[in-house]
Amino acid sequence: MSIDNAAISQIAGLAKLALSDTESRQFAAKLETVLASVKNIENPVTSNIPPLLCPLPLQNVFRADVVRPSNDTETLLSVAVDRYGDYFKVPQIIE
Amino acid sequence: MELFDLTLYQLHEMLHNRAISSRELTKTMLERIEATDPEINAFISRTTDLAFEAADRADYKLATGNCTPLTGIPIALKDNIMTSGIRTTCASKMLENFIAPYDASLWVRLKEQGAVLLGKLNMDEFAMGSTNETSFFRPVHNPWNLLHSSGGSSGGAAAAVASRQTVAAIGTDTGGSVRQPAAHCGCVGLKPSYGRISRHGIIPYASSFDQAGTITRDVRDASLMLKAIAGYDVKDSTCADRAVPDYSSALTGAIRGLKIGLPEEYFSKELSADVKKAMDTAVQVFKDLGAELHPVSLPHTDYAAACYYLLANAEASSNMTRFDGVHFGYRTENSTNLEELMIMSRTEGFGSEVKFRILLGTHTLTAENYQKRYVKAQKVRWLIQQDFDNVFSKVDILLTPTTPTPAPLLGEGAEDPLQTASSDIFTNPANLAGICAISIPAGFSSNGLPIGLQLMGRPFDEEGILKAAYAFEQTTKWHMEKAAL
Repeated sequence: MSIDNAAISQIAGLAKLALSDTESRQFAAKLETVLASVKNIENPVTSNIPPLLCPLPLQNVFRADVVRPSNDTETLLSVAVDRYGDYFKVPQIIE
Repeated sequence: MELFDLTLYQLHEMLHNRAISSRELTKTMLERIEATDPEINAFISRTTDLAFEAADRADYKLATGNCTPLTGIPIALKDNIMTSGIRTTCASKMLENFIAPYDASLWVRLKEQGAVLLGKLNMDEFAMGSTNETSFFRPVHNPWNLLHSSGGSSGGAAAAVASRQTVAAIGTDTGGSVRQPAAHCGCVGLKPSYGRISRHGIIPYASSFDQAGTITRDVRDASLMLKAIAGYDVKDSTCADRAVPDYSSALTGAIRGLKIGLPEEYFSKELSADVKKAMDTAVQVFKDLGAELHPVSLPHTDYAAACYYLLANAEASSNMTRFDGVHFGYRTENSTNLEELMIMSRTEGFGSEVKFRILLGTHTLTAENYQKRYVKAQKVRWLIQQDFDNVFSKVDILLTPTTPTPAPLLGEGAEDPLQTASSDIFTNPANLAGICAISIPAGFSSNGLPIGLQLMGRPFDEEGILKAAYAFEQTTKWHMEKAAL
């Protein structure tokens, strides 16, 4: 697959990144190199093979429905870049 | 021999016998950091005042006989492990001024056992890299030769231990990020099985791969550090609810009859002559110790690098969505609306390697590629895990080189994604399969750089690899060599 400027722009848009023209060219070339190197992933026969999501057999964790101590609002909001009362503050969304 | 040259176990004995105080030891280590870190650059943050406070608390506990093997021992943490009230940067501009609001569970355990935190360690940005050159805080230099890389991504952790700046360190290993720098710096690097240590409070890279690990001077210290941080944690739903053994009791030195597999795929032409020679010597050492060496095959090894690169970066692209300038971390000043705020905060806050891995992961997860690359790689991951299951029905542990070559020169191929990935080809299969693995010193190259030997074991058989590693270490004494600093 050829990664052109339009393709890299589309991926960057999905990833919420703004790339300069120079970055777009560099990342497109790098992506092509990497995609060529991982092409051998297509070789093994995997019909009837289950996808491995996690190396451990995962089970749903049930916990008692009881109130326990947790991080308080003030502590967690201490990392906020900007706040309004007990809220994270961001630029206006609705015009 | 200086105080900073001693192992955790030796220092514990001295602290316990009141031959030294934790304050005295902590002062020695902080002075050592002051003297050597301008050349090494292992530390991003030093916690001098907090360290002395912790040392004084430890000395009180030692005086009252209420101590653990870690009481009063100075340690350091990779800077992706959250420490309440202390800056946790992930070596990124994105988190340059981020003060963690809570502790990682493993740090809670270390604190409860009296460990003294010296500071937070340099790393590749968000653990994405293999040479520590993607750090926003400049690269880490290898203590054995300052022109060479420390390895990565836990480069600061390995370099700090090798420089005797800290007694021990905790890193994280997603595809080899504890074992590879440990090998390059002549330390012992242990990646426990997935689920052995809580990931709560570790800033994630690839969640189904990430696992905290220890970097220490020797195998006994690794067993003590693992014992301190292993075990179930209600805050991590992927943490295994299994008993934690006394790992030190496995260190008998007796391995007669141990079945060791030599996977043919790991002894290929890609090995440097120095690494090949060190592996040949290591195999003979294990034979002389009475182990049985068997050639084995892990037939899907050739696909491991591609499988790892696709899956780890897909998970990374998802994990990195939390950094959007909205809640915490870097926020741009160049935005007029929320969409621009997210885009520009990420664009200005992330370094080039992180951006590239996000792009690669996003590409892998697009509708067009999801089945043919992402799900396909997950299926290949199952095959790789089956390879290990099969081989561990025939042998007890596996012996391989940790890396194909010793540490590269700084600047040598840092921008080449394939060269970076090639340094992890022997380590990332253990992360794909979730098994445990350890890197131990196994000699030096002709130009004086350390070489690492990797032992891999069954899931949750850390005792098995520690036992074999200890027997090798006590016979060869490579771990006693020290970088001249």
